[in-house]
Amino acid sequence: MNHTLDVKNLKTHYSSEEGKVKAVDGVSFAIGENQVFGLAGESGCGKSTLIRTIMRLIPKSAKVTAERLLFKEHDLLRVSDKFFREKILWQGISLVPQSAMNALNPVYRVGDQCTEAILAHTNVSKAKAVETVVKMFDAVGLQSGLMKAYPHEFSGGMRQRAMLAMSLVLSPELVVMDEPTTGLDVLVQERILRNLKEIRKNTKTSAAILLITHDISVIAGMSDRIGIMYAGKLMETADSMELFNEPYHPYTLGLKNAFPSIKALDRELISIPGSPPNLTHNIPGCLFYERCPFSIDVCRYEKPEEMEVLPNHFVQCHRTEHVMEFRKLAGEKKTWQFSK
Amino acid sequence: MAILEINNLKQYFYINPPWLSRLVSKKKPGIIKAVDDVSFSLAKGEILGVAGESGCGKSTTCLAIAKLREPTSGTIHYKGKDIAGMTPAEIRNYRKEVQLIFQDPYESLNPRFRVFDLVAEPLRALAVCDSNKELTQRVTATIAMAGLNPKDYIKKHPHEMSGGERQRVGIAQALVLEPELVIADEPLSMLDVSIRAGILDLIRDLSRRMNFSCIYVSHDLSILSNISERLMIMYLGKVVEIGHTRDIITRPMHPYAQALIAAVPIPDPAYERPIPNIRGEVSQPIDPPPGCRFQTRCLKVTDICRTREPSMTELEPGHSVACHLYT
Repeated sequence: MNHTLDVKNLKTHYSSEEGKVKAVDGVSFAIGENQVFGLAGESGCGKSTLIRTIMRLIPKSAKVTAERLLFKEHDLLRVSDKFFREKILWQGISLVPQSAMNALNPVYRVGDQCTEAILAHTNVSKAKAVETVVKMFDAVGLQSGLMKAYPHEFSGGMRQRAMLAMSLVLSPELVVMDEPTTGLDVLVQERILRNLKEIRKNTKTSAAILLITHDISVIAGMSDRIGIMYAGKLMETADSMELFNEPYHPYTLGLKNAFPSIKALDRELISIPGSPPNLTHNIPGCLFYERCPFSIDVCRYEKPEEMEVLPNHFVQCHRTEHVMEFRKLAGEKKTWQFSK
Repeated sequence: MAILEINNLKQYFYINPPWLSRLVSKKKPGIIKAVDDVSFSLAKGEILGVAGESGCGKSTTCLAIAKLREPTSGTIHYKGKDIAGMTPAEIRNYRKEVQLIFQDPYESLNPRFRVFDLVAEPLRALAVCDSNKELTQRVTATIAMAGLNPKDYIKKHPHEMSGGERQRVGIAQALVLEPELVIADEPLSMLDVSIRAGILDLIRDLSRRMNFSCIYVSHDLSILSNISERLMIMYLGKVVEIGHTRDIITRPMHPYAQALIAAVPIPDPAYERPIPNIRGEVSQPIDPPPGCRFQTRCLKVTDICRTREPSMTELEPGHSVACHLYT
């Protein structure tokens, strides 16, 4: 299978006054053509750093290393900034930034901003570019008359849809979305996600998508494959259905219980005790040890290796062989009431 | 008996554009009807969830109840007494009994105060305690109740704590006065999912133990479905549906409530979502047209919706809807 994005053992370390911050520490995953990969994690788990690393938006002082960081046939660790900017950005990989609501330039008309993206990267005529933008506006459910409007005349949802249109105008092969619906109302969020699905179905732009959010409910309905990130590491990666039906990592088990759902009114919510570790500390063992109810001594002193527990289902945990028992226990509240 | 009775509450804002923009861009004065004719009551010890999209007036309603803004018209009765006609002494007492939990624990705590002083501040400001000993006792007891170990935390500054710990301090601040009514405006929206359930449990447990009533405002119906006993859904300043949470979540009646509930994301990849029956986007409640506020987005709109405003109709005990479909 051809991968659109292939990441192996990616590390991004920042240096700060308190020491080295291992924001992304050994992450491996691959996104196939036309696949939606959802990356979920709490704030500070490194998910934004990960995509900024891919998009080359991190400060120069950060140290990036990887065994592999391939976009199609391009080695993103090697290509020059100039090549990346001219050939890969927008045409190959486009970004819908976090709070895309504020990402539009307030003094340019929205349509002009989208057209500019096309003109800057290709040699098409202005008329042709405008035509493409009109088509894309239509696809995301914005009237073409709105191209003349300024961002402040748009509502939050409309701005988000304009950003979505803009990210798709050059038919990139990978669209990276950082929390695309955070801060929007549920009805607007639903509409944008539905737009996205429809575009993928109806148009030929069958881009792969890397979707990042802290909201597992959003990812559940959108993604083919899901990665659960915690403290800079991918704790578990699997196809969506399998991740929800057969989770292996205690963190995934905990997250499942922590999410309220209107389809399960009687289910008791259980939170995971504690908070994520400080990434400047040098933790010898498993990063989830402090909050894990199933940990044993080895978890404290030894980092778990990534294991393939089922075909194409990866987990970083020492105790995967006991998962049947854990799945039962994780549903009980008293399992999670402990302190270390 | 109801602890809080709100009748025909209205909060209008008048927009008066400056003369230049009136001249140049032909802007006309208008009225924003942020809260328009809202009535509901809250029983002792009850948790009422208030849901709606941004701009529906849920926070404005809370401000009026907390007596932080004078309503345009309408009455708010607290324990049978109109809060507009209170004497200064009664207002002082009201402030003691009605407390707020804020949305953002990163902004709402004074960064220079230690946890002890943060929680002691309401007691000091209202001169509740007679002695320092009593003050210390009450503060440490409340901090412990909020799930923080007083020994470790009283000396900490806000920046030394995580978001969840800060929100627990925010809750301790609100509860140290042993209020009878707590207004929580989106207290979880800044927190991570793995710790949300803990804060939710805390609010529910404490409301049972201390028997306070709670108005819980959120746009997240999955959270409200978990914590509130009754649910009120607002749209552009109006209450469209109110009833028991389970009734509304499982059998919403108002077309808006139906759309809103259909749009809630479900954490299950196998779930097939129905397409919400709604068109357009939420507008602003500026000079609304006659008739139902929801007419422009409703797919079941009829002629009567464009002329007459629907009134609240009780369909079954405790479940009321404002929609012409049911009259």
